[in-house]
Amino acid sequence: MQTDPDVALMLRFKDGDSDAFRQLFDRHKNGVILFCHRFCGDERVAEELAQETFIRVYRAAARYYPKARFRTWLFKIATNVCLNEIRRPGYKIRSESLDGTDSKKYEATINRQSGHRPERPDELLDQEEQRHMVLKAMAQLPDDQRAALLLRVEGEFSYQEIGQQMDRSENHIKTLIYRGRCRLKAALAKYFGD
Amino acid sequence: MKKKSPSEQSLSAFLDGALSDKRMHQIRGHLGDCTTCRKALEHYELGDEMIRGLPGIMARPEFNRELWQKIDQIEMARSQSFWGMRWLAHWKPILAAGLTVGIIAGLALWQYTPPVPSVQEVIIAESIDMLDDLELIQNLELFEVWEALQTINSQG
Repeated sequence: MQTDPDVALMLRFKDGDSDAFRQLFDRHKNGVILFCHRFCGDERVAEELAQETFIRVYRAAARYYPKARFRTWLFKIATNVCLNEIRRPGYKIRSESLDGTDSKKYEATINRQSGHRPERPDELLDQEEQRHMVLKAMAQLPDDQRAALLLRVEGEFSYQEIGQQMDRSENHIKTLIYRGRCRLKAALAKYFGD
Repeated sequence: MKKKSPSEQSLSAFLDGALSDKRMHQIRGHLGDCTTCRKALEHYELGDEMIRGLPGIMARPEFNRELWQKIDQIEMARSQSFWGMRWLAHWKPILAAGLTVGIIAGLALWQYTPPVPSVQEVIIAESIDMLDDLELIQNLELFEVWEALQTINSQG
């Protein structure tokens, strides 16, 4: 843990070096935004959740004690922030928005932001449809399965780390990821070529 | 001979390298013979690739500024709280002294009971009351005499 450069930065920040926090923010900003975006499917909400994550890190500095990699701890906070958000009464994004015209707008925003330029109209349609289906399938996963799958696939965390992040046993995480993959496989069967 | 197929959950964990070395080796060996398990594994891999293949997003330019503004607000609130504590620390001895005096005065008032008058004091007090009544009666008599004199004077 002590060899993790991010832990060293966090400890420096704990000792009052605000520049260390800026470095941590610059390093992990995009990863956290991406995770939140994959989780909730809305760009603005994802940014708010990412900001909330970093604010919690900022507030927690005084009582920070390294028990795991900094990134594990950071994404534990991000996961809690995301889960709290979608469990909040009145939360309405998720699959409803992905079913209607909002999803087209959302994907157009993603394409614009990523600088994606499809070469042929049929390619555009195929890619858009596939992305739409992946997003929709992700949105329809139960929250804990989506969180575990994203932490594994996007975050590349081990089962043990995901267990720490979600306060579950490794076996439970193994089951959550497996079930998430099964649901995804069922929803995206037509793209699997058999 | 083809060995018993691993469970789909084991295949999922195999994809993540989350099994023991022995089990990983067994499944690797099995996959060489079993197209069904190979296909299932490929589907899991493809699903993961589809998630990874979703385009990334870029934060708006205002994202950083908004975060630093929120952090400034936290710092401001902390600072105000700090000065509040400083003010309290400065006035703490005076406040403590005032509070102590208040408590002592309150206790003293609560403990105080007026003394019971002695018999002699009661007799004197009653005598004074009677004397007051006597003075009043005398004054009334004088007033009546004065009124009678006034009447005689007006008739004369």
